[in-house]
Amino acid sequence: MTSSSKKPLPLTGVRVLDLTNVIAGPVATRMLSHLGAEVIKIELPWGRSVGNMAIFTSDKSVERPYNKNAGFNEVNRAKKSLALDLADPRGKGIFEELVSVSDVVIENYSPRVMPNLGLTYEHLRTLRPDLIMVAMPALGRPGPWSDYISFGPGTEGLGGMCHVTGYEDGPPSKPGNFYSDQTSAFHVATAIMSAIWKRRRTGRGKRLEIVLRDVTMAVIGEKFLEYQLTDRGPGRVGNRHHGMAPHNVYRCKGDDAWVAIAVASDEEFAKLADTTGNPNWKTDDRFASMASRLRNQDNLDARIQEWTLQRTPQEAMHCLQASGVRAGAVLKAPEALADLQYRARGFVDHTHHPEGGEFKHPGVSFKSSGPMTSLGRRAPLFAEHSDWAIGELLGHSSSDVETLHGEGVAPLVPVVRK
Amino acid sequence: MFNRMSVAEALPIAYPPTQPMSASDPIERPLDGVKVLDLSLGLSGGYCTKMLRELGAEVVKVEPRGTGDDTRSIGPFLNDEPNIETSAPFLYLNQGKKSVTLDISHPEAGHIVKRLAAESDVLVESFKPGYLSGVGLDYESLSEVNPTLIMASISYFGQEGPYSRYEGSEIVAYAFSGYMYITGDPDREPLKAGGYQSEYHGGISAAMAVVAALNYRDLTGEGQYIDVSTVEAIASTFEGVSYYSLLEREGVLPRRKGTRLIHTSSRAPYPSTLLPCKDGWVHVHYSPSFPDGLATLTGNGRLAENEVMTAMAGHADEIDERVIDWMKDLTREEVFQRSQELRIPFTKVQSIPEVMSDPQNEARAFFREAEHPVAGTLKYPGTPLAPWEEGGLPSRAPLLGEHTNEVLRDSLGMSDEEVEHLRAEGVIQP
Repeated sequence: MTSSSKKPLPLTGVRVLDLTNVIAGPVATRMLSHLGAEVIKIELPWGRSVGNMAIFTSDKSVERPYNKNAGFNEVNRAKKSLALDLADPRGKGIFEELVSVSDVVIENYSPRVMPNLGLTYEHLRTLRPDLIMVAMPALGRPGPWSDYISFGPGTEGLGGMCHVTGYEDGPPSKPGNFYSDQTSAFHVATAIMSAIWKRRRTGRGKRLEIVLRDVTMAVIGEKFLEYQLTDRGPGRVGNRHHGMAPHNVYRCKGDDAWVAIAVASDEEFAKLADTTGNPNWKTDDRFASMASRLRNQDNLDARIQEWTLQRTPQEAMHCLQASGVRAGAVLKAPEALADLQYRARGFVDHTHHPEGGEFKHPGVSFKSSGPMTSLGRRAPLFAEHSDWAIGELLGHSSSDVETLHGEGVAPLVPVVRK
Repeated sequence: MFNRMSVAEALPIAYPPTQPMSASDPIERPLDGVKVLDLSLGLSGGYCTKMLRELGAEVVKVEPRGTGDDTRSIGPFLNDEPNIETSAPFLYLNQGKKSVTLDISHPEAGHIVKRLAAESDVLVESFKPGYLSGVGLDYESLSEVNPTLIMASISYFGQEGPYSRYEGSEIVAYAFSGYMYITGDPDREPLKAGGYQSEYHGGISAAMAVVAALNYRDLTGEGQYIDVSTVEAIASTFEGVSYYSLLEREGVLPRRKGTRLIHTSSRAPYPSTLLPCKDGWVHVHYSPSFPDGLATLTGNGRLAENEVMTAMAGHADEIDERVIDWMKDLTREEVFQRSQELRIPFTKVQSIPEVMSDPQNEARAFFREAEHPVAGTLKYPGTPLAPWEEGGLPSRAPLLGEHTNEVLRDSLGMSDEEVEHLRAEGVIQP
């Protein structure tokens, strides 16, 4: 922190070397950075061609596209950037010097890369004995699939998530976006912060391996017990729930407009019946009890939809909530931005990037009484902190730094991929 | 075509032999010694304190008299017979925790909760916003007895704001987060993910904030009050696709696209998806390190043509068709093995029983048995939070009130008479 009177954040004083790419790793270190860590992103010397996130980079008419990749600039907020060729002995040397002054090294390469570069935990801890080193493999050791490769979404298939996601009458599906990447990222950030807390007490570092598929299995953990307890392999139930009815989304007035409703008790059902102007449902044998509603929910859903079709999702939600019925509009992105609750809580994070422009991002998922996070900070330009890291932090002469820039070991603009 | 980093990727490595620690090895876990008082009911708080328990903390669950934590009433149950001791989600989420049964609305319960809070580092709760201040157990009151207490409240819409008192549920939070609008088929209704994903994310965010607050307490000596909204927790997973800026910046509304990942530019890479093969479904993915990999794998030269490779998202339907044609006579296992041999990241869709017995999970002993007096011996998933060598939590969920006596006598030093009095007054059970 620059001012001594300013309170620290939870990870003030922690330096992280971030070798991760794509989503899961960068989101984990983005979280650490917003919680006060200094995160130095060690970038690939040829730039930011990060597959699925390339929103602008594929457009060759754009100048410096690597600085304008919207996905990259979102998941790498509040970090520093140094591009380094780790396969060059000089680049590896700079990296090793950085390790000696850092607390955490994190990578999400395939399991082969770090050992083949000679950058194992066993080696790096000789440079920094209390190092916390984090790997994020897809499938983990040991076993026949140990060095198989997968991005986050692929682990959802292998882990069972796809099998239990989908319409009742449809094929396996998956949550939109990079679900297991994000979910893994938050587990990784939590595990790293625990290791830092422990290290403060023992002086010892740790090697962590957070396996993407393990996280995917953990968040559907009850399905594995369901199978054993009932002897039925869990399948797809769409938007239904085995113990609540009604429990679904209902079409509303407007284009592709929907509201979600869930009823957990007969008392709640009575409120739904009254609010929608159908008090007779309460005494109808088909709907009066949870067991009967579970049997007749197709019929009931059609009747509920007659009511929701007359209203926008927001109107339906507020009307039902006013009588204590669990209901939520299926929000679209611009509706979330305009929503009173989101705005009152200041959820959205705003950044200004000199090359990317103004952007809105998901904020941090918790509020705290003491200030624990520092938001509003943009992603770095490519190699923006190269001189700082090699010259200032490590103390190399400016002529050495120039040579490393010029020979593509620590380039300031992406080099052609060798 | 391989660059030097790709060479590092391409060389197979030999893993040193590793063995999981045996049950008698002392495992040092990061949060050893941290005490968590868990007043939460339901799934989100359950997953929060499950994570803290897996990291080494001791978790004392305070459950209402009668039927206990709400999760105990959520099935499925053993043999489909409702029983508060055999709920699948309860058994999973509460492994290794202690259970104390206490009616916190009883006038005599307040001081017991305060004494337990005074002994704890962390308190987690998920009552409706406002409830705890009504019974005199809000953060202000509790921080008087424990100034360094870290208290995390989980609710659907958050403790503050115009909808803070609204009723929520898993599907409601998923809907209001916006995630539902981007999940499912474009021509059908929005779809919920399987299981209880928004509840789990509420718990994940709370656990993450609690561990951050433990570090903050080290640096400042101060406690913390944490307010987690389940809606925001799931919405915080929208990173990486410019979800909130796409419409304004690109004129594109993020919307569900079946099993395809959301992309905006026709020149973006192939949008990975689930496609059918001979005996099921395969997750088909493109590898940025191996741009013509789809052509090599399928032997279909069209997929290496410049027209396709420079605008993969724009040719997604055509790519799907050609990949399906290649896979139609191959099993999931054949597709999986052939693609991985070429370092192309295809995976297969497995059912729940298949996951439990696949060779990787078997080799890692990811599922481990624990015995429960009512539910019997079951295999539980391991923890993602500790290295494999350290294993999972080879322990079971507590019976309702199993540790009431132990906690009141041993932790609070109550006499037998005091405990009897509380039982007679109906404050505790059994």
